Amino acid sequence: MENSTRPGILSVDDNPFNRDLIRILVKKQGIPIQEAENGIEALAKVEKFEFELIFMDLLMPEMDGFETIKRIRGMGIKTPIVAVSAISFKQDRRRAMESGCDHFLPKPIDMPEFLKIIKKYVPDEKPDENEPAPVADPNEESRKVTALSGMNFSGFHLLLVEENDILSKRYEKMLMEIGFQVQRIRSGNEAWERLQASESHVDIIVSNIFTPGIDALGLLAMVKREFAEVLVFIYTPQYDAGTFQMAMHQGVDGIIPQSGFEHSAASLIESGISQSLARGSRAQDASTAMQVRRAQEQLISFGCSKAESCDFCDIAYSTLHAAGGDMAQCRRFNRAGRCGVVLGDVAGHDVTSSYMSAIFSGILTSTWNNHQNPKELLKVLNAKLIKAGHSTTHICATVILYDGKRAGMKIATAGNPGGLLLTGGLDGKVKIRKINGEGMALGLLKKDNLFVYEEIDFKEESYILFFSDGIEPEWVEEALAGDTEIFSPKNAKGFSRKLLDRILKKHGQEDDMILLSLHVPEQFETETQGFNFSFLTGYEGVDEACLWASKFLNSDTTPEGHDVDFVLLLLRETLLNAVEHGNRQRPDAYVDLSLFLKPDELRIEVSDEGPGFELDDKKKEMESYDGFQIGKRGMPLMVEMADSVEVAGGTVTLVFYRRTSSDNDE
Amino acid sequence: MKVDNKDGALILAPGTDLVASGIEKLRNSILACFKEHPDASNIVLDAAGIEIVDSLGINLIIGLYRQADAESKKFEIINAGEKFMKVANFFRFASLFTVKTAEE
Repeated sequence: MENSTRPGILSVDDNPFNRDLIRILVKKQGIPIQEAENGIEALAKVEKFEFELIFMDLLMPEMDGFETIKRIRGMGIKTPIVAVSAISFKQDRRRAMESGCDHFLPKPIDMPEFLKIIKKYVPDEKPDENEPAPVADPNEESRKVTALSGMNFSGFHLLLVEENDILSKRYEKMLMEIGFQVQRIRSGNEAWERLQASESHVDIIVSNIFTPGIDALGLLAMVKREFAEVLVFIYTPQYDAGTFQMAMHQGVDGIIPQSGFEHSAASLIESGISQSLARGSRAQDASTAMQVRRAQEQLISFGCSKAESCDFCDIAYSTLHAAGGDMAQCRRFNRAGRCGVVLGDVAGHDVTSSYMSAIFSGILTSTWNNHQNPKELLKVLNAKLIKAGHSTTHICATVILYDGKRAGMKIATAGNPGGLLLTGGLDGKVKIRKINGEGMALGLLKKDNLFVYEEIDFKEESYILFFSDGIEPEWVEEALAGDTEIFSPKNAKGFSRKLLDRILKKHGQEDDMILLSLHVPEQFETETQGFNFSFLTGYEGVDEACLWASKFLNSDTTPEGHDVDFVLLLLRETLLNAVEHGNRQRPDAYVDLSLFLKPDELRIEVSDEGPGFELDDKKKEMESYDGFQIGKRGMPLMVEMADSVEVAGGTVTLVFYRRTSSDNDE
Repeated sequence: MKVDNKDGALILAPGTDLVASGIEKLRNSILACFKEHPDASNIVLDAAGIEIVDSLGINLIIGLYRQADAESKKFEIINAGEKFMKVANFFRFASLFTVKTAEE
C-alpha cells in the first residue's frame, strides 16, 4: 500500500451530487479526499492507498456497498467505514454493520453529525517526532488562541484587509498559528481585485471596517452579491449599532470586536463556518446550489453511453438559475433494444429538490435492473421512498419501457402529465393524441393502484413526447405548424431542442423543463449477415429456436476448428439460461436470438428480459464445480467451448473464431 | 419410452432427445419404472435415438446412475450414437459407468 502522501478520506458513491457534497465538507476540514464511483473502483483504491476513513454509499450499481464493505474487510483492511445511505431502517443498519462497517450515517446528511464522525475517526495529524519541539514564549501566552472544537483551518485561504502594518502582521501571525493560509492586503479595492482574479482562491475575508478605497461594508455587499460562497468577517474598534445592523443586513458572517481580536477571532470564525455548514447560510446555500446545478446536469443523461447517441430517444432540457429537481435517466437492458427511460420532477426548485432528485436517482439506479416493468418499478420506488422517510417531498415520474424488437411500449406515470403521441401525415399536418398520465405522485401513500399505466403499439412513424411539466397539445401543434422538416424522422436528432425552444420562447418558463422525444429507430444494419428469432419463454421455444438456428449453422458457416454439434449445444444451454434465470420462466417474457455470421467468426447473442449477471462471479462458482453433481452445466460448457463469452445486461454473447490446427494443439 | 425387463436388467429406451422440453415427463416415467421393477439388478439406458442431450438431460442421466448406485445396481448405457458419444466423452461418463456404442 502507498502512504507516502496522506490519502485522507475515500468517498464511495455513484451519485455525483453526493460525492460533490462530501468532498466540499471534507475539504473544509483540511483533509484530502479521494473518490470512487462504485464498489469496484473503491476496491482498487483501498488496495493502493491506506485511507483514514471511508464513506460508503450502500445502494450502487455493479457492486453495492454491503458487498464492497465485506470485500474490504475480507482484504484484511481495518480502516473505519461509515455507511452513508438513504435506507435508514433498523434492518438495513444491522445489515451494514454485519457487513463490517463501523458507523451508519443516514441521508440527507446531518452536518454536525458528519463533523463529529470526522473528528472521531480522523484525528488531527500528529507532529513529526523528529522535528524539535517549539520553544515556548511566555509573552505569547496571553495571545494564545484556540478554536472552539479544535477545527482544522489549514484548508482555508483567508484575506486579511488591514491598512496598519503592525496590526496586520500581528493578526496574520495569530491566524497562521491556527492554520489559516493568510494573505495580507491593505485596501478593499485590492481585496476585490484578488477575488476577481481567476487564479486566486479565497474562502474567508477578515477586514477592518475602515479600509482605504472600498470600505468593509461596501466590500461585504459586493462579495455577497458576486461571490456568495466567501465568508466575510468584520472587525471594528468600537460598537456602533447602525453599522452593525447594516452589516448584519448585508449578510456578514461575523463581527469581531477589535479589542479582543486575538481571543475571539478564531472562535467567531469557526462559529461562522459551522453555522454556514450546519444551517446553510446564504453563502453556503449559494455555493451548494452551484455544486448542485453542476451535479444535476449529470442526472439528466440519456444514451447508452456518453459516446454513443441514442437512436430511440432525443432529449432537451432548459434549467432555471436556481437549483431544480428535474431528472432523466435511461438504461439499455439488453442488446435486442430493450430500453427504459425515467423522467422525474421533484416538487419545488431549490437545493432540497435537487438533493431529493439525487436520492431518487440513487434508489432508481439500484432498483431498475430487477424491476423493469414500469408499473412495478413505480411501486418499488414508491415503497422505498416511503420506507426511507421521504414522504414530505413528493416526486412525479414517468417510466417508459421500450421493447425494440417488437416496438411495443409500456408507460406508467406517477404524477407526471403523461405524454403526447404525434403522428405525422404526408400533408405535413400533425395528429396529436394524449397518452394517459397523472396518477399519484411517489412518496405520498402506499396506494399503488393509483399509478397510471398504458401499453401502446409504437410501430407507426410517430413521436412520443414527454415533458417534465404540463404542456398544452395546442402549444406543440402551434410550434410545429407549417414545419414539415422538423417532423421528418431523419431530423429526429435535435428535434427536442428545436421544439422546446419554440415552446419556451412563446410561452416562457417558470420551472426546469425536460422534453424527451421518442421515436422508432430505423432497423439497425450490420456489416455481417445477421438473423433474428424471438420466442416467448418456454422449453418448446428453446427447441424451436435451436431448430431455426440449425438451418444457418453447419460446417460451412461454423468457423473452422469448431464442432457444429457443440456450437448448437452451447446455444441451447444459453437459451435455457435465458429462460430459467433471465426470464425466470415468466411466460410473457421474450428471448431474442441473433446470429451474426462472418467467414472467420460466428457471434451468437441471446437476450432475455432479466438484469444479467456477473460473469466473473459465475466463473468463481465454477472453480468448485464437480461435473457429476446434479446442477447446471450450461455455464461451464459455454466458458469452456466458446472462444469468448460476454455478458452485457440481459444479453449473453458467445463468439467463435476460426481456429487453426496450432490453436487446437495449444 | 420403451421399457423392457430381461434377465434382471431393466432396459429404458426413451428413443428421443434428452432435452428440457421432455425431461419432466421422462423423469416421471423412469421413477415409475423403478418402482415397478424393484428386483432389477441392472439398469440400462438404451441411447438409440438420443442425439441431443442438454444440461437437464445430463442431470437425468447422472441422477439415474446415482439412483442405481444407491440401490447397489449396475448402470450402463448402450447403443450410443456419434452425437451422444461426443457429449458422453466431454462429460467423462465412462469414468462412472460403461457406455457402449451401437457397434459394440
